Amino acid sequence: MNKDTKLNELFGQVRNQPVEASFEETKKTFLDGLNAQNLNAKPKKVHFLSIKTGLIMIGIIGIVVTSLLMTTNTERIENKEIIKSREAENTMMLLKEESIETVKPKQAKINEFGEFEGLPLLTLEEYTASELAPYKKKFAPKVQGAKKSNRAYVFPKLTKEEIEDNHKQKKKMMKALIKYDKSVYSYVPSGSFSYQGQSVSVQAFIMQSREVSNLEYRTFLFDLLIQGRKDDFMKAAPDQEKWTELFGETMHHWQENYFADHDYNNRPVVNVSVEGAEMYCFWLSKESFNFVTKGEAKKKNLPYLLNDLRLPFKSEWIKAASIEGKYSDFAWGGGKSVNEQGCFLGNFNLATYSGNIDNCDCKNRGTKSAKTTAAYIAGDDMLVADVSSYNPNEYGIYNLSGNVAELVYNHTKGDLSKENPQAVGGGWMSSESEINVNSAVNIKSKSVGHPNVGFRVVMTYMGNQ
Amino acid sequence: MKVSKQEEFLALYEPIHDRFERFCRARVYGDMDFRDLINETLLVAFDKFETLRSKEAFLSFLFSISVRILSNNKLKKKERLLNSDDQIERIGDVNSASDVKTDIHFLYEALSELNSEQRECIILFEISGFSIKEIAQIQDSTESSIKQRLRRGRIRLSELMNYEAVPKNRDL
Repeated sequence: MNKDTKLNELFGQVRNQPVEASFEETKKTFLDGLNAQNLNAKPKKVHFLSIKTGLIMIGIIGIVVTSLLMTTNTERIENKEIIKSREAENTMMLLKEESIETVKPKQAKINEFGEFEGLPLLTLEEYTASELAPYKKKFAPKVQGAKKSNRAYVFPKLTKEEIEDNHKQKKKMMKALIKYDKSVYSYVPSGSFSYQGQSVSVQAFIMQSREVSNLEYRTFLFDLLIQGRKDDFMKAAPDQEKWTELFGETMHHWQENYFADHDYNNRPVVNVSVEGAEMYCFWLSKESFNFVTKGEAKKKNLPYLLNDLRLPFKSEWIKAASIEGKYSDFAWGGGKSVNEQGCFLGNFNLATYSGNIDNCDCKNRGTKSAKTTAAYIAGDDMLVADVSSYNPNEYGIYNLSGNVAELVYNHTKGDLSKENPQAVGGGWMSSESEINVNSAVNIKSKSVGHPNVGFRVVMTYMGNQ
Repeated sequence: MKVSKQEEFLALYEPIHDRFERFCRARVYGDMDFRDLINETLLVAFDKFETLRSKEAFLSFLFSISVRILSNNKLKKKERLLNSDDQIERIGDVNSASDVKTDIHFLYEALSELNSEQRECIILFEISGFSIKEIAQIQDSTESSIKQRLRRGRIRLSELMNYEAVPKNRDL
């Protein structure tokens, strides 16, 4: 028997071998197993699925939530950065806008009278970028006039150049004061003199040799505006409406131009109240002190001459005008208002002059020569002369008699009260007799100015001549 | 619905039970009890019955499942099978078989020495009665490959049955 036959026989025996596990037995085992599987399957499946699904769900939810949180957080951070950058940009924009706002020209409204109004004041930047206004319009009628005409006062607007010019002029005034510029200030020594039968002692003082000019007073007012002192400006500004109030519309040109126009820079400021004059003195004193304390005076070894600037006491003014009581009529001495050439020695109202003015020939003698008021009236429309007109007296002081009456404090002996202001020396509106050094007009109100009244400043001298 | 599925499943299985039982009995030698293999195969097949594409392929469907179960079972400890007293008795029955049964036992033992492809191929062709074409479909192979496996398998079996070859895992 070969190998293949033997194998075939074995395989045949296996094929013919009866099954050990019958179908019925197998079926029963299968069904039992199937039932057992079904009994355990549900809870097992549910349990398995619940655990598995729960774990998967937790994992997925965790991943999703983490991703969302990270994404949201990233977005928030980005948003925060964006918000911050935007805020920074907005802030920068706001700052820019604010900075622009500070230099942006303020739009002035023009009222029914054609005047500017509603102008917020008063910084250098604002003035720098302000809408230009005609220089002559800078000083509109003062508040008193506005009350009468029921109009709002309009503050002047300065250009950058005008502000710079104002600072230059202010500095010039400061230097003149602290340097004791003899072309601007005159020294009057101390001493006793006889005044109206009484012996009056006056301490040495320095007096402004010229009346305060429109330019100087305008410098003061503009500086107030630049400093933002709006109320002080209103208080100190000259009442320009006095021109037409006293003389009618024929003086409208003067009302509009006398204080504002550059042509009148060297004319004495008028229509200034006592309060305004005192404010000017205080301003000049304070600003000069500030100027000195910056070190320039110390560096140049300048003598400290500064004391509080003020209006002169009447005794001081009389001493300066009468040369310590030497002259009893006019500041230039003698009893006549004209010299031997027939030229008037001071500015007063010629309508009250009883002499002959036809022979006057003093018109073209130069600025340092005596000029006649009549010549001005006839040819130059000059009712108020320059502060340096006519001849100065022996102290070098101009126009103590005539041109404009000057504010002083009238005080009794030993009493340096400033409560009784007077206007002394007469002015362009005064008669010949009223420009006498002894003439005086009481000032009823410290807040009211007059076209015939100006002022000059004095300062008690504290050093050695 | 479940009853109809169960009836249908058993109706398909009943005609092929003998062939499948012989296959399992020949295939499980030394690995596990063929009854356990039949039962586990049927349970898995019933669970996956919906995946059966054709009723004609039901037997090969069972063969595939049983082979997979056996492969997985080899990874487990054989001691587990000896825990049952019933299994111990059956082992005793095999040892006390007649001469025919002894020859068949040695045949099964020799079959277990073949590689899995040759073993399955010979069991399916010689014991279960499948044609070469059917075996090629079950094993997803060509008919020539099946013929080759059958030829080599038989040569190897002859060597083993005549003691012409030494079993791999058997000490002399």
